[in-house]
Amino acid sequence: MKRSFIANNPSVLIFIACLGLFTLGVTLMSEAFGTAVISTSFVKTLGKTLCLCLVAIAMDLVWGYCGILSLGHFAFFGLGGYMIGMWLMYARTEQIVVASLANAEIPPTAQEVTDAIGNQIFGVVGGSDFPAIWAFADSLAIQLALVVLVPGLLALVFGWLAFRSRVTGVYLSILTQAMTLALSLYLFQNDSGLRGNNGLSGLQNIPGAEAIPQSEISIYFFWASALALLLGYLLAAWVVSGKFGSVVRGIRDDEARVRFLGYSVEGYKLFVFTLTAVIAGIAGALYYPQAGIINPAEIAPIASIYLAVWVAIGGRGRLYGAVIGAATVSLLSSWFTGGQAPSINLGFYTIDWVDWWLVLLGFSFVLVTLFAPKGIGGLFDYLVRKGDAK
Amino acid sequence: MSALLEVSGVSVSFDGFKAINNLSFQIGPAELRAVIGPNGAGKTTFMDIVTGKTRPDEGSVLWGEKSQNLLKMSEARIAQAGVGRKFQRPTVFEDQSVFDNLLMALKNERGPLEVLFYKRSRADDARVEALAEEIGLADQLHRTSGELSHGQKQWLEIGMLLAQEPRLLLVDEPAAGMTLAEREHTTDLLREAAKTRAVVVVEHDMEFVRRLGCKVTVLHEGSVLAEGSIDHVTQDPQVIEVYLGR
Amino acid sequence: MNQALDLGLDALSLASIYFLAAIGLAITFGVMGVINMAHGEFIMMGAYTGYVVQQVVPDYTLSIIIALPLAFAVTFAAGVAMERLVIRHLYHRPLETLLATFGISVALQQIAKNIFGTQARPLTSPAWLDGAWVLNDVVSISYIRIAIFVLALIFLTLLLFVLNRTRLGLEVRAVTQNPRMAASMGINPDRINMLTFGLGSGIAGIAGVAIGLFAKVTSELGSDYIVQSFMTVVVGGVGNIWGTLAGATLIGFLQKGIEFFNPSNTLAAQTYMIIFIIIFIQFRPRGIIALKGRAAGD
Repeated sequence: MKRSFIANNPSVLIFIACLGLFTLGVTLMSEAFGTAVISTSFVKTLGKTLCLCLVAIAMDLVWGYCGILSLGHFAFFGLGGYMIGMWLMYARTEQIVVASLANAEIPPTAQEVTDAIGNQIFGVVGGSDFPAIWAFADSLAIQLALVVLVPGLLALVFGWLAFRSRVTGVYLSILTQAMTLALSLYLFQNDSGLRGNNGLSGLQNIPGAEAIPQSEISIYFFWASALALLLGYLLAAWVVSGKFGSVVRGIRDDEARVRFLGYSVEGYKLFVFTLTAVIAGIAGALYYPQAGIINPAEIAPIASIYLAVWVAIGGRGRLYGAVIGAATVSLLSSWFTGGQAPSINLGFYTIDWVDWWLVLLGFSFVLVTLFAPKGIGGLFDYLVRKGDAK
Repeated sequence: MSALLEVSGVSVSFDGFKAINNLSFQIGPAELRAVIGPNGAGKTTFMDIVTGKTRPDEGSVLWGEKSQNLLKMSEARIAQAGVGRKFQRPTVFEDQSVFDNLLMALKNERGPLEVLFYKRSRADDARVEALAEEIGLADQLHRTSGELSHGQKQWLEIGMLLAQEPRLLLVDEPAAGMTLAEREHTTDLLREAAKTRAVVVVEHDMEFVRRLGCKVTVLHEGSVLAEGSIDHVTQDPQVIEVYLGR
Repeated sequence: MNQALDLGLDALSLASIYFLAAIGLAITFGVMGVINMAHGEFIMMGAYTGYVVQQVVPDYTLSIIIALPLAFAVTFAAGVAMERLVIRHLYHRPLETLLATFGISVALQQIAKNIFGTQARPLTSPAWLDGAWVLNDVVSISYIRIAIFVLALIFLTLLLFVLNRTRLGLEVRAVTQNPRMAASMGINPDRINMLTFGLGSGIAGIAGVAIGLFAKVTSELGSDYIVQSFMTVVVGGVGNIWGTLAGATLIGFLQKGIEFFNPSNTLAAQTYMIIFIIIFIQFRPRGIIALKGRAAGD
């Protein structure tokens, strides 16, 4: 009667195989370890895509399985990025400052070094003092812990408030969107302590790894992203497989019924919401060192809606759907908006995809919602069932 | 005999409309009771109050030997304390298998972490199979419950209710949309269940209530109009006036 | 005293802006229960309509008089088209409506960007709206803000009249409460839904002209208002025009109040206001003016 976890989830095995092959393939084609068929910047794009797939899995867990259409998970993603970005920026600036002061006739005091770092980082917003939130920026270990803790705690507090008062459905979506908006507006301020509009930059330079070329670093980050995606996928598959998955899907389909079975729906929602926020934070912490820069625009409400769009196009309620959706749409987006897509000349008007891609995406999203509510994943199911029937 | 559930002086109003008006109601630990009344008498609201879905404006609802106050508890806690509810429309989780539905209902730890690390024991498997046997779905265990017929879904829901091992069962119009044979089966099942626990059946259908052969409470405009055997209440002039008169 | 009055007037005019932006939504979301993420883009379409009219009709007074009904017509048509083509198929699937209308919102925004470019377009108010009503050194209020306040009042009265006193309003309420019952009484729910949605969208268009007069008209004009508009409706209480008024008033006064304590920073004021709203919803999940009873549930 009992079967192993993998046997119950054949898609997990297929996913592991695909991800492994993909990672190997990219490595072999990279500049650092292979034939240099693909450029370092494209390796970074692929690595970032893997991070987006990971946050899409989180979104699928919270929306596709638990029925909470959160419009705040990209905010958690951004927070993870900010947390790691603080260390990256601090440590790197410290090195530069120390190097520049090394030739000073009088050895600089610790205070002078700190002031100089502060000046370097906050000069752009007209400040030089370190805000309190930078207290631990010199410690990689603590900032790494904050990658998990800050999104987790925010989700815990926000979720507790929201679920406790039984805010559900679209109201909850609007409330999470409000949270996201509040956060991004806050970060846009110059005195937010995180350099306002400018955000954190130079994150691709890893302190202590100057000797290693970017082509190599990009591959390491690519591997780390692939590993994180793998672990995230396994975790998510495990969470949704057993009785917990049963309860969570029950909550999605009929919340009141689950409550009358004696399950505290709020506790489950809070658990899933917080867990996925943590996953999103980790994904963000891997993404932004590859992107090199993070600013408040990344957290704007629209980003979180895009996340929902990816999951919907990929097919919600199935983990591989989230991965397919995020990978397809984000790669297509960068292809179209990067100007590589050929323009279409209609004679009287030339469709330039840089301008028209969003229009196409917007309308195709409407079409998917109307005609293929199960997304690309639903297509797979259909093909598999057709294959079985033969 | 001490009561299992004691509702006293409960009132609730929606926008000035008094759905429940100073209602008092008691039921013992092993008793079958039918609650009847015309539309809008407050039958469903009564169940909503007991299960914690609706909070009354005044009154008290006490439960069990320790006289716990149900009004202070969440729906989930009330269900854990032993109140099970069956809705009029069969509500099962349609995209999950019969087995998963029953397993979810099975009396076990309900906390998120316990459930996350839950491992099915042989005893639980056996219990689910026994329940499936009882409700006649033993060979359908691994079918998706959305594929079941209307009647089978009703049985599955009753099975889920039994899996919870409640001490009080609230059943909303169990016979609606059933054939004669199915009705008889349902009557037997409810009478059987009432030997070990309290069962409250809300019903429209007088014939069905008569077949249950139990004490009847008549609700009207949110309070108890009459109580007693079916023959007693059907001869009550007030009951005839509000129930049969129109 | 003067300062308080000044602050009060500021708050009042901000409240009327929020009310204007949200009032269309109070109909489509509040009364019909449809989440229209493209509502902000209807506001934007209204503003651009005003801009285009000014390119053709140079007289500012005349152009505004033409622009108001034209903006209504344009967004009414857009609303009806959207209801017919998309939303109609998604009733009872509110989360999917949210996503589909978001897709439309993205597309409309980009189309506007492609047509009008990224730089802000001016929508100039007529000269007689340029001045300010000066009470004394401290207290003054620009005519344009008074006009917006008056416009908000007109809308409030008009909508209350339409919803509560006309046949259309009765049918709208009937359809939203029980579409099948309404249908069996000879009301065509399709037609009513279409008209109601068109009405809500059309009002967004007029609001767009008004907002365009003091804000810069860009393709992102609408998205600046959409979240606040939803909050206004939710805070006020869904399904009730008075609720939207209460919500707009609360949010307007609150934001100005917070800005008063920290005048240099409007971003922070908005942040705190949103946090306040999140907490407020804890205590009144159904808004200031809440419907009670079984009908309001779930």
